[in-house]
Amino acid sequence: MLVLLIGDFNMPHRSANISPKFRKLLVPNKMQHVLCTGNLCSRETFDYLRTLSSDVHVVRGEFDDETLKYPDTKVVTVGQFRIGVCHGHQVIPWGDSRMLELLARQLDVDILVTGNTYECSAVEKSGRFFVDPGSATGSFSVNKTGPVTPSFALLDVQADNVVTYLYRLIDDTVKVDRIIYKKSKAT
Amino acid sequence: MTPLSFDATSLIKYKLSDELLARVAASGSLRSSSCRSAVWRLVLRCLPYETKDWEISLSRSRNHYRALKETHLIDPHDTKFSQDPELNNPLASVEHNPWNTFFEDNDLRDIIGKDVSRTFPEIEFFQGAAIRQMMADILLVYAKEHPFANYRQGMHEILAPLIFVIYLDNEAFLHAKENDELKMLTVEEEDTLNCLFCKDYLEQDSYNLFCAVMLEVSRWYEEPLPSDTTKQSFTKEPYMRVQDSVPASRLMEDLVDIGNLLHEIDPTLAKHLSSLDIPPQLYGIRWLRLLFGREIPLHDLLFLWDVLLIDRPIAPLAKCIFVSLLVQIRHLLLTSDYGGCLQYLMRYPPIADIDSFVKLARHYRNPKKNAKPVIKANNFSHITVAGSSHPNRIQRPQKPSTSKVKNDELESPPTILALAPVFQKVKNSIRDRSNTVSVPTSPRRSNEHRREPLTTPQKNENWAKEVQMMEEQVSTLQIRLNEQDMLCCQVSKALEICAMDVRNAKTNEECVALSQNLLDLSKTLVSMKTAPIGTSPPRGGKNGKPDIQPKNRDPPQIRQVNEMVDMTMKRPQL
Repeated sequence: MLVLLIGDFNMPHRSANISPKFRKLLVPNKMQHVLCTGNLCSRETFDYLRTLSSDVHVVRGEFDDETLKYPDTKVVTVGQFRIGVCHGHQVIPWGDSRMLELLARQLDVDILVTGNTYECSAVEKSGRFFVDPGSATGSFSVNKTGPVTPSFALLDVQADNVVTYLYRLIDDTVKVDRIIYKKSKAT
Repeated sequence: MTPLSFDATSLIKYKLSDELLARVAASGSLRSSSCRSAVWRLVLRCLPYETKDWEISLSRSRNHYRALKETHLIDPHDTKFSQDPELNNPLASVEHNPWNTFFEDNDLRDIIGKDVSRTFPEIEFFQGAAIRQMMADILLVYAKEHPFANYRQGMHEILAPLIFVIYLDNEAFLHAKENDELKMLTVEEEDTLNCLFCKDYLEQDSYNLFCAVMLEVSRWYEEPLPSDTTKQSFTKEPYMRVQDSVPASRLMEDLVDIGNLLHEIDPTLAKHLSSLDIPPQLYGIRWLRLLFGREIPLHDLLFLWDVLLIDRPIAPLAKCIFVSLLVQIRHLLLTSDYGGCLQYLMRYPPIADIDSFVKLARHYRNPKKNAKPVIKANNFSHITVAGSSHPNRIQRPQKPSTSKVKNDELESPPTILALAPVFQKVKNSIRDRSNTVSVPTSPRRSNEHRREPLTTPQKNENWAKEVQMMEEQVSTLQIRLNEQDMLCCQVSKALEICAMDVRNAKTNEECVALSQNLLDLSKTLVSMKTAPIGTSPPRGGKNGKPDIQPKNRDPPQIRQVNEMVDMTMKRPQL
């Protein structure tokens, strides 16, 4: 079961489009679910995600239209894993690991997906797994100096473990990293 | 000589040949045997006739399937693939990425999974997750290995009985081994059988047998060739009926052949169906593709396949079976309109006596060699194969009987007289069945007569229906008799073996063991569901226990009569 994690497009405000290198990778009929961490900023972006999979879940980023009524947090169960999604601008201080742990406990999820840092990462902390897909377009961020690397993440959910692939676009070539998270027996 | 019962040990004992297996299959003794799967594999050349070559051939075919499965069923998580995430990740479009093939197979896997989950919903064996997974794997490997045939709906229904048969035989063999029934075999022979009926290789063996069967059946799964379809689109006219078009595939050609064959054999029925515009092309695709799997209940189907698979290429006999299926229900078809006919053809009423049906099909296949059997009321027209009520019966209550009933009421008020022919038929059919079966004793008949008036007189208007019910029951009883025949044959054979042993026995212990054997045999006889009418008491007497069987034979007989009465009493309430 493949789950695409993607967000912080900021289209068309800060970026014109997703890199063609990424568009070539993101093709229909591969992912079963798409979890978006928000900041789509336009209807067209949402429609694009819908072409990838019929099951798209979106949470609200700070630049998404209020009228669209995206929820702040969302929990999706895939296989044996509960996956929580939140944009992350509500978590103060931004990107603080202890506050994120608190949120993960509140939502009672195994995997917490947040954005807003514009930095792609995947770490396991106290039995829970925290994934940040970063920004799909590599658009400018207020709390980050220097250029932002475009990135997204893909979860391959199996019976008792999740393989996370992080896709980064560095110097116009796609670099892939793999991190494996095993669900501990206690949870 | 045709062996009476054919089991695992006979595979070793007899010199196997096509003629022997053909006789065995036709006699129906495979129905109770525990080596049907082996016989199928022999006749389909999955196994050589030389027993000593079996182990090599089996291990070769099993390894072959394992290799195929490894190449065709790809798990991208397998460690044998490159672990470099740049090359091995779900989205990479580089060559040799295992995920690419994985995604390609996914669609096919979905289709197969859907069909597999619908296989024989009435049989619990096919509901298990392990069996379903096994079926899906086999079908996927077959589809990938035979890209021309690919996977088409219906193949799962061919595969299912094959797995079922192999599974049953493996279990039966294990059981026989536990009960020490293989004592007469040498160690090597037992090893050979161990290898043949090995539980661990169910999937591999099923695949190999499935491939062999598909060699015969795949002609009906072929898609019309693309060149043919373009040609056909030119010749296609508006309002053209399906039977008038040029047959585009071998399936359609065969169905046209069947139409012609039916016209030769039963012109009245053929005319009736063609006047209603029901050609075989309309309902026959499923019949042929599933090898009649949905028309005949599974236990009878296996017997039909015994006969069918040995007569290769199977197409001619399959056509004859097709026509016999039609002739079998001709009385129903001739009295039905368009809708009724279609219902009967789409939901074929179950055949009560498969033996005579197979004889009929074999007669059409080779009229000179096989005599035509007499068939009467051989279908349960009020139910479907799945066991539910037949839609024709729910929608329209039987009309033709009403006028007849009035006449009968005027002429013959006492129902016993009118029912007499039925009993006569019971008697005749039992006498005809086989020589080992004796004529029913008079107490039994009088017993039936005594009970009849209790049930029928209040419902005079229903009695024509009941006669029909009775006929159907007679056929049911015939089936039971056939089964009993078979059992009796087996028991008598076992008794013969015992007699031999008695002759050879010298020590006391041997005698004790033998007497225990005999007691077991008598128990099997007594514990049978219905009473064996034709058990051979002389043989039992020879072995020194004369009185056990006759005493115990009475109660089941009465139960049988009760059953008939119960059924007739239930009927009017429907």
